[in-house]
Amino acid sequence: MAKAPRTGTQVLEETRTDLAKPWKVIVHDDPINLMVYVTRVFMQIFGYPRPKAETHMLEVHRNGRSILWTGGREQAEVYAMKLRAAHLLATLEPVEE
Amino acid sequence: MGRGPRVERRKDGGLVLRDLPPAIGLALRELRELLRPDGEGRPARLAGSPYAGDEEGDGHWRRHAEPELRHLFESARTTVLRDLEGLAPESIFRGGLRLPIPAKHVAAWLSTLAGVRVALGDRHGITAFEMDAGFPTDIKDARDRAVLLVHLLGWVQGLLIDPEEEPGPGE
Repeated sequence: MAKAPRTGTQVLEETRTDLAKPWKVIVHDDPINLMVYVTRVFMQIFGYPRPKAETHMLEVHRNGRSILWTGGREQAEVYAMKLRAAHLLATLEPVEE
Repeated sequence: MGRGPRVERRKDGGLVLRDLPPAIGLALRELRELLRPDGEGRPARLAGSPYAGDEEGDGHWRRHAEPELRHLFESARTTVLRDLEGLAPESIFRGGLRLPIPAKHVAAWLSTLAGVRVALGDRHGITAFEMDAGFPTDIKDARDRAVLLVHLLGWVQGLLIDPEEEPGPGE
C-alpha cells in the first residue's frame, strides 16, 4: 500500500508526538549515599510515601537501578535536575515502543 | 559529664548538634577545606548530562540545568560555611562540641554533605565494601583519610535525618 503524501499538518503532528513520548527517570546505585538519605530524597522530590520511597531505594541498592518515574520529557528533566542537585546519579531514557 | 552526641530540636525548628566528639569536630573543620574552590569535595557529578547520546537533550542540559545546579551548590556551600562558624565547645568543662543549624539550612547541609561525600568517593574510588566495613582505624595515607571522612561526614548526615520526619515536597 502506498503511503499518503506528507502534508504540513502531518509533519507537525509527528513532532508533537515525538515531544510527548514518555521518558524514564532512573536512579543508579552508588556506594556512598546513605540509604536513609536516598529514601528522604525520593519522598521529597516525588512526594512518595515512605514505603514506596523505601521500595525504590532498595531496588537501587539491590538491582543497581530503579525507574522512579515515567512521563513527559520536560517534567522528567526537572526531576533529573532535582536528583542531581541532591547528588544522586540520575539518568533519562526514552521509553522504547 | 557529657551525655553523648545528640540532636536538640529548638522551638523554632532549628537543630543543635550537641556533645559532638572530637573526631567529628575535626571532620567538620576539614569540611571547610574540602569546600574550597580547589578542594577535593567539589562535586563532579553536577557536570555531565543525564541523557545518553541524545544531542538535543545534552545541549539543553548544558545550557540550562548545569548553571542552575552550580548555583544551587554554591548557595548551599555558602550556607554551610557560614553555619560552621558557630561550631564551638560545649563549655570549658566539657570536651564535646556544639553546632547550631537553623531549620531552613538543614536541606543545604544534607545536600552539601552528600556532595562532598560523593566527590571524595568518586575521586578515591571508595567501594561499597569499604563503606560496609565501618570506620577505618588504621590511617596510612590520603585515601584512608578520605574513607574516614566519608564515614564521619555520613555520621553527621545521619544525625540530621530524623527517621520519623516526613519531608515535604520542595523543602
